[in-house]
Amino acid sequence: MAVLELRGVSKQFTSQGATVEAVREVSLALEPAEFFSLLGPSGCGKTTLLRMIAGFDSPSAGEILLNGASIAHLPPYRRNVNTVFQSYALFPHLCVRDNVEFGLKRKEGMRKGAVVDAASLVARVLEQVRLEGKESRMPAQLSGGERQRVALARALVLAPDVLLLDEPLSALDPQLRKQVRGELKDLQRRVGVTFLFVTHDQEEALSLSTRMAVMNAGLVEQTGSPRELYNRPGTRFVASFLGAMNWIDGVGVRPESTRIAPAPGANAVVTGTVFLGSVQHIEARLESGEIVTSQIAHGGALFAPGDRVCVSWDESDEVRFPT
Amino acid sequence: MVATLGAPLAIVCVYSLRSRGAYFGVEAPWTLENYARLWDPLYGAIVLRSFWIAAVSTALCVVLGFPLALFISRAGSRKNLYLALVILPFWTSFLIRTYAWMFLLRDTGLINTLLQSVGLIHAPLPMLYNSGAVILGLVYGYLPFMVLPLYATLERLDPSLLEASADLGARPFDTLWRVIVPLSAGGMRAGAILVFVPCLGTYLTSDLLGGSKTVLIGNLVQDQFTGARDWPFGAAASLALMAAAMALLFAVRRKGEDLL
Amino acid sequence: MRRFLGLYAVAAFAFLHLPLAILAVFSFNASRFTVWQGFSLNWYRALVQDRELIGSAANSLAIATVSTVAATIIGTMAAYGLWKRASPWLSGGMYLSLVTPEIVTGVSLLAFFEWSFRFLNARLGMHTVILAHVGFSLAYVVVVILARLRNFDAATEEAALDLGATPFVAFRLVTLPYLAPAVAAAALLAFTVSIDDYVITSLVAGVDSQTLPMVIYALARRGVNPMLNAVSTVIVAGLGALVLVSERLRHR
Repeated sequence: MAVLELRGVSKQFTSQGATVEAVREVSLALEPAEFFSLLGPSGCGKTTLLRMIAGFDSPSAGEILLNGASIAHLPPYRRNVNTVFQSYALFPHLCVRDNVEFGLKRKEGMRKGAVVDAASLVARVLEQVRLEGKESRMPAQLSGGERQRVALARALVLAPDVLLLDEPLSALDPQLRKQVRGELKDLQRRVGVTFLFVTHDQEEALSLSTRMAVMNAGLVEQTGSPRELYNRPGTRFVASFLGAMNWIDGVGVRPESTRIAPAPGANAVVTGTVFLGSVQHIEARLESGEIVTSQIAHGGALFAPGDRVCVSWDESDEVRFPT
Repeated sequence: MVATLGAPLAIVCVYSLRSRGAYFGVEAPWTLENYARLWDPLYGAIVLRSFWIAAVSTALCVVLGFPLALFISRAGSRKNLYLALVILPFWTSFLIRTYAWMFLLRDTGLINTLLQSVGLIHAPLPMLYNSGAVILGLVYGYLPFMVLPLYATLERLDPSLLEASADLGARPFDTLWRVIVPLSAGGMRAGAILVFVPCLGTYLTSDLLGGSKTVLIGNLVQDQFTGARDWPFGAAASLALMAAAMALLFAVRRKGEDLL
Repeated sequence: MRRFLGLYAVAAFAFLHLPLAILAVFSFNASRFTVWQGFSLNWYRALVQDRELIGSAANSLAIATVSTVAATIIGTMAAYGLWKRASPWLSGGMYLSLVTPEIVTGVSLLAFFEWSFRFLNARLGMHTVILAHVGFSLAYVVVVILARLRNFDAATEEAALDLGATPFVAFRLVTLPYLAPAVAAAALLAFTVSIDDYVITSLVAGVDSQTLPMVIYALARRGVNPMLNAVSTVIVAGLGALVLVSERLRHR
């Protein structure tokens, strides 16, 4: 059974007379222990959706089910769902240990059964995120990466059914991001909690998820595994959003699927080249006037603007959408 | 949530007290006669004098406060110390600070005594109980209100703008006049409001330092509510004062600027 | 230009502080004239023995304490409510309160109280003074707390909710600790404003409740009195010390 299910969830905001449809009839189902990414450009509604699952906004229509039970009417502190916020939102006046213990203490307060041995739970989760030894530090004394791990620990210690992560890597330096990405995936595998990861970075989504969904303007365009979405995009938007795409006469071809070779009498002319280190991008104008970008590996032939070339690809690599 | 919304509602009720000018008083009939009386030359003089004194005091505060604010904004690590030095007098009693000037300015006060003992003058200078003394007292009392907003604006000034100005050939004074002063207009406006309005409605300063010759709107209102017992007239005068203050606020406000 | 600014600053600070310093110096003058005639604590002794003065000081302290506590609590809640949900009425009222000249506030409060006495069987007295003080202190408290709240990451409170705290617990455990320095500053501000107020207090005080500023004013009206120098010095020293102590505590 799906851990988290959204059925026809929509959200409208009204401000100054105008109504904005932030989320339109979204339906999703998350399986246990999967790493699910919600990918989309800024303003597509992914954060709004996350907030509705967490309980900070209520849906205008639709159902939200956690393990089969409806939670849409419950306030955030009664849902077994926890969030890692984009800004981490650590409590500045509490040390690491107290931050992580916060949720456990609330459970005791509400008498959901005394939490047995909170201290060892805290110690264990801190070990899992590799923060042992830093329990007494204050948030202001931690680095960005460390703060993120405290936010993770704080949420995970409560053993939520789903962990929501709102662009948790965007505040980190690019170098750190790649490293933390790997650690995050490992952590999820070890802990076995369902992760719902929201991001606008397609590389993150592709590399981390077991399954993902692409959102645009409040709608889910396609759901599936990263490979499915990349190789067989279901809509033009998904095709363009994931990786690069050439559109020639209504047909889509990825730059890495094209072959380009010098051809003195041909009608395609190179207009520019971009050196990217491991690959090169060659731009050529076709007879029809359209521009094609071809990606060739490091060490391939050198091209210069003005060269006449021939660009080709296999029909099986084409992506077509009925108009 | 209920608690946090309930308290504010209670406060709205309290605030409604604040602008409650009373039309009633001793007599029942509604009349606009009280407002008409304000145009009487006798009271007109009072109104004019109040505006004049408030305007001069505000202008002096701008002129005197600007260099000080500029100094503090450039003071580096000692900024907080200097700010504290400016704020400290403000924390102490306004009444006492006004009294201090009485002590200094009166005929047998310190300044006259010193000048006479040195031989510069032979008869005491009448420094107290005139408009000048009131202006002095007002400037002294409200200078911090001008310095603080000015400082806040100057502090946020992008130093690269000053560097650009120098780079393009402006000498220090030019940069000051053509770049720094115009950019601090927002702070000046905030400070001007914070100074002008209280000055317009001042009561203590004009009472203690101005004597019976300097009657301002504030004194007029106070008088109506105590001695003269003409509440309706006093109310009209105080509402007129309020209206003047609000009009000024509106006139000087720019979109997007927040006083606080 | 730097040198000019520096010199000017010295002159400006002198202008701001000298008058009070001079008052203090002359409070120790043996004679009542502005000619120095020897060090003496006469005036301080006279101060302590003046029943009216001491009584009014006690009144002022009591009023200030009560109104500070009330204004701080109500003001903090109001600022928090304003921060969560902007209300043009409330912020408008706040601005109005700050910008209104004291005389107008005092007069309208007096009118309001007198009008309400038609229904309630009451008179002007300590309670009206306290109410008035709470009224005009509120805006100051709200301003200080709001300024601090503007720098607060709302996500921190949401995180508390997310982790299982009810809204009230979240406020108590997360927001309030963050606000603590601002609450202290606001309380100090409210206290100082209350202790010092003359105009509004004198209008709503009634016959049997004298506050310190009222007594000082009466004395000042009659002319210079060295006892006032002594009072001034004590007040300035006291408030100054309070401010310094609070600044120390704040920046620890």
